Amino acid sequence: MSEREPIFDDLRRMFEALDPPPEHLEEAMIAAVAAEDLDSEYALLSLLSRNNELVGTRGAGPLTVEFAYNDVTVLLRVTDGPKANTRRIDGWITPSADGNVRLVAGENEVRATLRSGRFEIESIPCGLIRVWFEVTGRDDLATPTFEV
Amino acid sequence: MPSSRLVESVRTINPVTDDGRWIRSAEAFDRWRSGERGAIDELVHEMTPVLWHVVRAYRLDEDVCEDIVQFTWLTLVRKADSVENPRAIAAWLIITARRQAWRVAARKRREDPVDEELLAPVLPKTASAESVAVETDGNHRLWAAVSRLNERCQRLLRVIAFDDRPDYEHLSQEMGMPIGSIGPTRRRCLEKLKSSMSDEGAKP
Repeated sequence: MSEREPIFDDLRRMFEALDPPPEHLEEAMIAAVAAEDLDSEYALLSLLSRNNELVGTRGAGPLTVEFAYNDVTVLLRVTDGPKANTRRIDGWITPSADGNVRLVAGENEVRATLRSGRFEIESIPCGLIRVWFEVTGRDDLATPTFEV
Repeated sequence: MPSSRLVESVRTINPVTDDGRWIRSAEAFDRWRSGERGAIDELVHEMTPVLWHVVRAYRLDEDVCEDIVQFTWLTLVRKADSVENPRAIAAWLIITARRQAWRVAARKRREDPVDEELLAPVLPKTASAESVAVETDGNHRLWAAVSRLNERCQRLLRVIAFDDRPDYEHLSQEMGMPIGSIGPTRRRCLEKLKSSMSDEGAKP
């Protein structure tokens, strides 16, 4: 193996100084790993985009979060819920499908029906959540943990 | 006890270099696979910052990068049995993260073709602190010089900065060039970087 050019060490220090990982990242990853249920079989959706317009400010525009796995796309629209510190979620999955949706927020679990690719959850506490899809005729799908 | 001294000496070989990180990661992964549950936390601690930088090389938003790092860890936990060479766990994690970053970046390009044309210059996240002005100034100059390179060079240099021995096969697929061209491309990118820095230095 040839020696690596020393400028790569400078580059490394520069990126570490100017674009460091978010402070909470390591702890969040340790928590995500600890919470993983090794017995469940599912396909993991990946985040494509998150359009957060002033989240947490009442009256602010909705948050849209988009996930994908192969040809499946999940779009979630998150708005303020009926009470303080709650959120309402409207979701669409394409291609259209029927089944069940399970939303896990800490100790709480909320279920909803997926009909023609659409579901709604009227109120969940804001914070970290994970959404599971049991879709007829397909493998189960799950989002990673994310914040609403 | 000679054996514990040996372990100690392996751990203290150059703790700040990559080799130390690679060795500690492999050890932690071994211990986790043999049933020590908490050892995975050590592995996450060692490798999360490296994964962050490798994924950021794909110029994706912070939220998306965080998700890709999470995707990488969940994939490891769920598919730990498929890791063929536990000694190379650091490389396995980096390749998994890069593949996912590449997939997401390719999908975004497909959906948002304009985005790439209008890529705004990415500004450093950390404002310069006056107490470390000299070092910071050097970093900012280097950042600016990197930002003037094309996207391919930017990605290649950041990936190699955090991964001594990058997987050239996958890089060649991503970049649409033969494996044999990556070495010369790497050299050209470094030359451009150096000349970009000296041009800047020559300005009044």
